[in-house]
Amino acid sequence: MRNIFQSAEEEFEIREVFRNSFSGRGYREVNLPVLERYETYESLQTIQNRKSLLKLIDHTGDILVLRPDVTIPLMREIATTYENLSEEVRCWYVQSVFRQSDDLTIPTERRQAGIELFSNQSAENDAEVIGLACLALTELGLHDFKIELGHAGILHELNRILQLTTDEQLQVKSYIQMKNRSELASFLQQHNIKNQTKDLLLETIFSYGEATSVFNRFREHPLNNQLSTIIQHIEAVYELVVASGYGNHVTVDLGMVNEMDYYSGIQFQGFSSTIGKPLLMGGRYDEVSQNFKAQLPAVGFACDVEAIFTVKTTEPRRIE
Amino acid sequence: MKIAVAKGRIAEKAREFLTGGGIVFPDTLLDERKLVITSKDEDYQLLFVKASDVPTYVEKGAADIGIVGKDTIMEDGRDVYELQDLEFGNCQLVVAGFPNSFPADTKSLTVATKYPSIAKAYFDKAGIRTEISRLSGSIELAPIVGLSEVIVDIVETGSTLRDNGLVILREIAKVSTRVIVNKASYATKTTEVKRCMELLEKGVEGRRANTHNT
Repeated sequence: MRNIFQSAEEEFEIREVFRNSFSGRGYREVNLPVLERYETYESLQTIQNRKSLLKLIDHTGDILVLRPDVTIPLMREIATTYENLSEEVRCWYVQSVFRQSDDLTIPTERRQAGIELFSNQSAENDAEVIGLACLALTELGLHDFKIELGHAGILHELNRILQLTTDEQLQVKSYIQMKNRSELASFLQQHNIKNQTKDLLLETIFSYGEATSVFNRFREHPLNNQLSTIIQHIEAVYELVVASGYGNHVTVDLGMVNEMDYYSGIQFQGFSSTIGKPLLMGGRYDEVSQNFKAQLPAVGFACDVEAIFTVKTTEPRRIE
Repeated sequence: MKIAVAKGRIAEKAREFLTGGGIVFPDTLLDERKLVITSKDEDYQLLFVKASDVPTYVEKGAADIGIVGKDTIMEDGRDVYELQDLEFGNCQLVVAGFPNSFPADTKSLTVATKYPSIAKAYFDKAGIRTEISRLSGSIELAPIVGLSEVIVDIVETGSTLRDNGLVILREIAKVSTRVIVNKASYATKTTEVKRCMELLEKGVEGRRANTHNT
């Protein structure tokens, strides 16, 4: 637990690091309203996520929520200014978000520090954000972190191939999320998926580890076009991150499933060996802007500020 | 690698599997008061914890790996990987009660169980309204004294049910001992985690071969 003075010092430090690292690259700091309309989230989020919203009612009877994330309100704000992407927009922020959880050890208010790049999908743009995530962690004094690289399109493609009901899709998603190979294998068997397809799917979904070995494996396999394109994209992003000097921090997880189901392209998560939960999460979300009647593809990440300073202040665990 | 194991039979088996893979532990497992033992090469630590606490240790990263029953994993719903089925401690998670206490057109039920989350999810999905009492032992008593119409519990041989005049009404899931892994450990200690999985896998295969021969 940290006191109010530490908390303020940490916020100052992370702001300094973000400003110094990003302002020279065209990123500008943004401040967002704490109160949001409930309707904004009602249409966007799953039931599970809606339960985590902190709601209040104003004097007219309208329901408001304390912002549960930064990505959505920022997208709404940007969408009211720009309908289309005539120019790229770069933002960074350090803001609190509010989510309630059944797990009482998780605080309702957490601070996030992140960036968003409103730009068309390209390996360069995706790699820019991932490289900047590595830069931010390094500048904050973290060194033993790993960024896992995945892609939301893999699960979408899997659902398309398997033609499952909504319940079955949730079941499959939870097997993949838990990397539960044996139960997914028997699920596919029960659904009369051809052996060859089954093996290929399992091989894809459970590919994890050092990037080049994962990519090499897929060159030998006859993947369908969709999956090939996705894997080529991840590879292109990976190569660019390597070129920016952070290759040793990147690992590939083709079976990555994110709770935030608005991701549409590349997605990533950062971990340190010192704490058990993710330090940062991010990805591309090209369809979110449609909810605000705009066409604004975007990619970004958010760090958990408390997690980062826990890593910084915790003695490294005994070398095992 | 820190491995949290449920005290008792699971702990003994886990050590057996790891020893089979060449990890030597000092012979102190029988000392009940010991909470941690370290392998001779100091690469592995076994933490002995209450079964229901294993997923918490792993999700929070206090242990890299956990070995525990599928029933506990399902009830807890923690954000961890479930990488292996060790194929022992096999049993069923069932709805049980007196015969005819759960007809096909049931609209509502009273349920007693150690597994309120699993029970609620199961009956919600079936569209059945429930009133759930959480108990921590002797679940079979509940229908007998009229505390509930049915119970949700794990069943190994079914003899306790039979002795009390109860029968299995539905199967919810098959249960066995699983290996769960912390997500940060998987990302930052991939090689070590994968090596440990191979050792455990060897243990499973060895056991499979043995049961074939006998």
